[in-house]
Amino acid sequence: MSVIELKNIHKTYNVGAPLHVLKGINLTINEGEFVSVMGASGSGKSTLLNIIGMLDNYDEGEYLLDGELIKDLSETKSAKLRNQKIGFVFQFYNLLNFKNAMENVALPLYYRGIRRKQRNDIALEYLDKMGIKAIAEHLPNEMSGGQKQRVAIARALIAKPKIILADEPTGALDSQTSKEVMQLLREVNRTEGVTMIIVTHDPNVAAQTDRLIKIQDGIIGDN
Amino acid sequence: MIDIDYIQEIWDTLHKRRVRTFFTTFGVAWGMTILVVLLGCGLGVERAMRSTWGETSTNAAYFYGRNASLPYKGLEKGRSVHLKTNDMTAIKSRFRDIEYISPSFWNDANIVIRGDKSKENVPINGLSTDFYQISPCLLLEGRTINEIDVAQNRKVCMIGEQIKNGLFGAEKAEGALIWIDGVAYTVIAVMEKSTDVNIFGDPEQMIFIPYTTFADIYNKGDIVDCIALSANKNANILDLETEIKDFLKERAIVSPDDKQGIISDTTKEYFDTVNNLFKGTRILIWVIGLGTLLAGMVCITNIMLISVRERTQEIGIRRALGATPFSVVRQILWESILMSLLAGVGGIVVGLGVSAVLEDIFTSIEGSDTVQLKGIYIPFKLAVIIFIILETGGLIAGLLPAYRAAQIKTIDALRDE
Repeated sequence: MSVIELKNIHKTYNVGAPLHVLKGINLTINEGEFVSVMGASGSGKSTLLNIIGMLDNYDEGEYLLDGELIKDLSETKSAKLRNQKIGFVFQFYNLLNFKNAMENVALPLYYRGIRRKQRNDIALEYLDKMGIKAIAEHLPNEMSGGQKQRVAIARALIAKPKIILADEPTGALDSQTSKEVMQLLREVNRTEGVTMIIVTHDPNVAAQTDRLIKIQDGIIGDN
Repeated sequence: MIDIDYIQEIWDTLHKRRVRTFFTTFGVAWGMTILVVLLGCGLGVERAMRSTWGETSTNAAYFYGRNASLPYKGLEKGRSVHLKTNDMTAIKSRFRDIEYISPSFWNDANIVIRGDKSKENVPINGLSTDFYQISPCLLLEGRTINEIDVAQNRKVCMIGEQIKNGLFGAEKAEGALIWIDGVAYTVIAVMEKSTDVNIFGDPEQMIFIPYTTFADIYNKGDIVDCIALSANKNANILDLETEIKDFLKERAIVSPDDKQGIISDTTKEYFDTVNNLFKGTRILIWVIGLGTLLAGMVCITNIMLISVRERTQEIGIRRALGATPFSVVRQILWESILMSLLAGVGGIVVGLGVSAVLEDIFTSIEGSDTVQLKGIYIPFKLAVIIFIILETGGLIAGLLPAYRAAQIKTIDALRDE
């Protein structure tokens, strides 16, 4: 069953001269898939990711997320959908540096209106799953890169999303930690059944996924 | 809307940036303290002033006969105009708003003797029983002049405290006999002033006797020097003053256009002047205080704007995790409100503390004439009003930063590495 369906997606940025970034993307990703997206800088992969993550709008085509048409949503509506359906993992972690690991992980539940006590309990549970319950009270600047990314993954998972969008999740990590993080993502994909979309430059990372989607000049290349 | 969990989230955010929060809050709290202390001092002066007014009627008027400046109905100008005792009865029956009315005869007694002690040139006033309601004094001994004293032209007198001290020293004066210009009077009271506003003069240095007695002894007949009256609280004494003056002019055959023949004055004018002074002072204090608060508010707006700029990434992350634009706006507004709340409570508490210390200092300067303050504090109601103003200000101060925060686009924010 497809969780993401992109039909002929076009996107043009108007910065001075119009820049046609996505030129008709057709892509289906099924539930529980573990895919990677590769492409050179400027190929349009970030734009694609932003559109899938409902952080940006597209000009033409259709995007069905979990069977629901995502088009011209209000900021409020898209924020709610993001919270429910999508977990983000970023290259530079994007943790709030004044909140400790537990509070960072609990944040999506805060926006879902879950009480502090309850969401912190759930956050601890997820930190435990990531094997980093011991650093629950640590602030981000007291953690290693690998720990930060684990916290970020726990945060992406806590709202039980359909999809996790990981933008260069290992980009800032050494090779050993990269491997661990990839294993973790794989495990999450298997045990939680979350669809995993990983954007990467690294062929080694791409090789660990089940499917590779290549983007070239705003269209999907041959897989 | 108000949710403990939510407030806690906001509080956490402020708490994690406590240095900045403290200094921002301090700016507003400082303005608040200044406003509270200034208002307290202003009200202190006002209270001190009002306390010297005592029970004096604020709705009193008095009328004197002078010399006519215009010829009228065959009477030449320059003639003396006299007010008479029967004018009082006429006024009272004509004007229903008049509550109390008293004539005033005055003279300087050449000599007042008691035993081997004497005092020269003592002001002496002839009054009716109503005088005490128009311009009260305190009685250290005895009673006031009563109806029987007036009706029977009794030779009784109320003497001022200073006269009593001169003639009697520490002895009791009530019931004793004194001689005023060769006539024996029984002392019925010793008076002390209860206020600084005394229509009939400073009672401590005077002698009051029934006006009927006065008229007899000093051959005044029915011509009074002054008519003093007070109207009930709801009456407009300034309108009454004009109407009564016209009425008196008619009775004394004085031209309605004559500004000299009969003159009058009201305590209201005096009280109004002082009240306006207070009003002016208050406006000044509010302008200064609110100005200072405004500076504090601008400070909050400023810091919040910087804060929003600095937290672009944070806001981007929150948005990515499901924060709606509204929740971002709400967060910034609440941060601003919470800061002004802290500032408000802090400022008011510190302000009251400073006021209390100031009051201690002022009251310890004993016998000082220059420092007249009575109770440097602001009433609870005023504190609440200030608080509401502050919170509204806090909300307004947060509007622009909140708007800016809502404009932040997640993708741009997250690109900001």
